[in-house]
Amino acid sequence: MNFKAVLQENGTMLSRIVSSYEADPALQQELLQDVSLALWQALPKFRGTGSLRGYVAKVAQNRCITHVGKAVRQPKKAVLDDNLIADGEGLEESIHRSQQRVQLLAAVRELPLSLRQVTTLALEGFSHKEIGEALAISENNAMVRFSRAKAALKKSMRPEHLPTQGQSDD
Amino acid sequence: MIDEPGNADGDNMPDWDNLQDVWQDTPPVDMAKLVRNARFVWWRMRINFVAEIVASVVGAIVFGTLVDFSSLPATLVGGFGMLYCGIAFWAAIHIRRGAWGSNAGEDALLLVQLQIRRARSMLLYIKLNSWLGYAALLLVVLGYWLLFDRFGSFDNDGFNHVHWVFGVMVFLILAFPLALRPFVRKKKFEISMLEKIEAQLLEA
Repeated sequence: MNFKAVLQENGTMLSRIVSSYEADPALQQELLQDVSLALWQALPKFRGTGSLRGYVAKVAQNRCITHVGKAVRQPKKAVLDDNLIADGEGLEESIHRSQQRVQLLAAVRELPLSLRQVTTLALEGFSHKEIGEALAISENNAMVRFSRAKAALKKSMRPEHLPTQGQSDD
Repeated sequence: MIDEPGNADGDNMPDWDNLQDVWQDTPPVDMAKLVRNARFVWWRMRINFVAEIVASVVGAIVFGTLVDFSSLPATLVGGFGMLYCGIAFWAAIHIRRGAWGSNAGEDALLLVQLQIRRARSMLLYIKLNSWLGYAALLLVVLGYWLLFDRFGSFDNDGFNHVHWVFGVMVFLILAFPLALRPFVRKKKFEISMLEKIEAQLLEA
């Protein structure tokens, strides 16, 4: 199994999962590198049960969970990404989408661990069955957790819980 | 605040499809750099391990050559040194137990528990090294005893470098535990955080 090809295909997914566990951009880079090393070592152990993408997500989640235990930090302010201005998109639209992403990430990071795992996988487009396989739980359990996660996310994204405009800026 | 009109939940909760779009709208990642870094760290782990093993074996051999059963100080210095190198050899292997292949593809709970064991092993290793360091002060005394036993006195300019070497050794032995205190505090905090995560995963 070609590590480079797997990373090429799933790298952006890995960076999103990392962002859901770590807010500091510098630590995100470190964690992403740790995740890529963990993936390199874990890939030979993939036995084909479930999808490769699901296995990759599982490795990333597991590595990020242990990182949460190691980090000693205050919640960092999220930084608006300067690179999100796509071709054909106006500046205002880009900033708006960037703010939406920051707010979504902040809400996901507030979720309890078990709900955060389900939420990140659901946002990546995994089915309940795939989420169950990745987290070693039943499909039914995955559905229940997903419902609870959506309710928790709804509560987190209420205006009084979201960071204000000033807090999202660098 | 994401506020989309006509969303499925009928309140301020954005549509799930929109959330997925927002979530997946991310800048590209430098994959080549990640691959290079993974390879570099993988090799560095192995090179460090081999270096520690070789250093402890060579150290044990060097101390072994000092053993001279006709001289008590020589025997004690050599014996203690071999013991020290033996413990370093054991620690180099023990600390890395389970670290070679990643367990990240396994259950998250097992991985967290493994990290807790590793962190505790690291604290034990540091404590052991600190005590061995204090015991190594005895080596300094034994070293002077050995030199006196062989040369009779220290009234010789040639011993100046010996005094310097032993002086630096004593300083490092005493400074080592103090220098590691912030790291030890951080590791203890890490263990407490990992135990909280373990509890969350057990509840789920």
